[in-house]
Order: sequence, then C-alpha cells, then structure tokens
Amino acid sequence: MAATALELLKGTLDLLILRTLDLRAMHGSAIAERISQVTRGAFQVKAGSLFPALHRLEQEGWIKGEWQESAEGRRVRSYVLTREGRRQLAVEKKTWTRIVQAMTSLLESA
Amino acid sequence: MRLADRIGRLFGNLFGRQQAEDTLDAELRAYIDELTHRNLSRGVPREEARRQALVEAGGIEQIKEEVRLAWLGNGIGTTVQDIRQACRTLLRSPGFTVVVVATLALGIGASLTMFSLMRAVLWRPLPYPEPNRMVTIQVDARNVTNAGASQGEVRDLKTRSRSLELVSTVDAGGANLEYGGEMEHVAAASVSDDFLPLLGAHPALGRTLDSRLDTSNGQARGIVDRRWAVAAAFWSRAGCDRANRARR
Repeated sequence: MAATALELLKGTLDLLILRTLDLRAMHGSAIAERISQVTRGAFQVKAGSLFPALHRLEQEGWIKGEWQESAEGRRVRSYVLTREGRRQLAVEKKTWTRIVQAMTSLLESA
Repeated sequence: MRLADRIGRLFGNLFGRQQAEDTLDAELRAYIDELTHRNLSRGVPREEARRQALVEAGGIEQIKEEVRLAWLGNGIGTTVQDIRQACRTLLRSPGFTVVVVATLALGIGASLTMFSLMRAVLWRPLPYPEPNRMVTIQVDARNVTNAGASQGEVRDLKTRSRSLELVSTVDAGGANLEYGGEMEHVAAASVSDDFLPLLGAHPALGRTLDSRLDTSNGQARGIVDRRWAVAAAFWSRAGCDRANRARR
C-alpha cells in the first residue's frame, strides 16, 4: 500500500470506473476495492463520489446497472459496460494518454 | 446514446422517480452490507463491523443527494433549476425586471392588437355561405373609377355570363332614418332583387325584394329597386317586437 492516497483528478474517476468495468460486471464496493487494489491504494474511491459517478455514467448510457447475486449470494446492483461505454472508454483513454504525454514533456523539458 | 434512449431516460427521470429512489436506497443498503461483511470477515464483531461500514460510506443522505444531482444533470430538472435561477436573478435587480417586463408586455400587446385587427380585416371569412364564390365587379367609366354599371350592362351580365349565378347591383351609402321622432344615421345600400338571395339571407318576416311586386303597377320596372332594406339589427335596437314589425 502506498503511504498516502492521491487526490483524484477531476474527470479521472469516470475513466477509472469504465476501465474497471471493462474486465467484467461489478457492483459498487467491488469497483472501489478493485481500483484501490490495482493502484496499490493510491486511489481510494469513497461512496460519496463513487455512486454519483456510477449514476451519471448510467444516465449517459455508458454503463447499465442490474440486480444480481454476488459471489456470496447477496443481492447487489452490478454494472456492466455498454457498447457506448466501450467506445467512451477508448476516447477517454486516448485523451488521458495525451494529457500524460503533454505533462511529461512539460515537466522534463530543460 | 440513441435519441430514443435519451428520451426514455428523460421520462424515466420525470415519472419513474419513486422507483429510482427505491433502487438507489436498496443499492446503498447493499453497499453497506458488503462493507459490513468485509469487516466481519476480518474478524470485527457485528455491531462494530456495521458501525465502521457506515463511517466508511459517509453520510448516506448526502450520497443520495449527490446521486440525485447526477440524475438531474441529464433530466428536465436542470430546466427547473434554470427557471429558479432566473427568478432569483430577476428579483435581485427589480429595475431591470420592470424594464424587461414592460418591454415584453408592450411588444406582446402591440402584436396581439395588430394580429387581431388583421384577422378581422383580412383573414376572417365573410359571414355568408360560400364566401369564396362571391365576387365584386367594379365598373369604371372612361375617366371615372367605380362609376357604376348601366342597367344594360347588368342585364347582360345576368343573362349572358356563365360564371355568375346571381348578379345584384349595390349602391352603398348612408341614410337618415326617422323612427318614433328620432333621427338616426344608418348605413344603407340601394340593391337589386338578387342581393339578399346572393348573400344567403332570409327574411324573418315577409319576403325579400321583388321589383315586379314592388312597383305601383305591378310590372317589372328594371333591375334596380330603390327601396331601402333595413337590417334586423336596427329593428331590435329601435326596440320593436315582432308584432310591431309586422304592422309596419
């Protein structure tokens, strides 16, 4: 685990969620857990930002929520990536790569 | 997103609100349960596990409010917010508001007046049956506009024209009418026999004009009948009842 959690940049949460759901359908706490694990604790997504983001993405039609049984047999609301969501993920990935490249070239310039 | 989906979602936001609220509530409760179970599996006692889960989640009501805002972002709710915002702005600057409202009121009033006038003058059909089949023929003399047709011309139109069903002369003007010691200026017109049938008018009492009957010797005198036709509106204004009219 990283010593300190990073503050999530504005707009990156959508990308994180879309990327996470690209693997398989997941429910809220699983998404947060997965993001935390993969980023080694750098990003801790709180419910207060996770659920609004999930519902906003659902409104956009990029993900779709449906009630399912979790692995432990509890009813949870799982989210799957829609076709539009997959397209959006590709777009946001590209945008993010450009941001990183731009930032890097700026920071490493003499 | 397809347009149909968008519209469906919009209506869902508007009318399926309760269902969405219920879903959100259940979802958040499931989330708390998940966190609780995770804590339980770490060996935390049940009460404490649930307490920690609630602390970690943060204020449930606050989350719900945030999610509702996310719903609003795509729904008609933003319009409501816009209207509220507009009202607040207008109330903050009453001078500006008065000017805007006055401008709008005057503008709308003027347009309304103009259009109702145009409707009355230009667009409202004439109050006769088949007004689209009615024409006015203006007869000009060499240097005089609307000099009027001669009797012969009218007779020719009547007998030879195949486009016209009925032909009547109209010589409009005004007249002074004395009734019961009172003088009144009325709109009047000298017309020929076919005038009232042409307008589809039927007399409430008696008969319409007939030049053959209305001449002293009972013979046709020509097309033009010089009697004044008095409209029913005047009769009723003059306070006559039916019997009175019949006597006259």
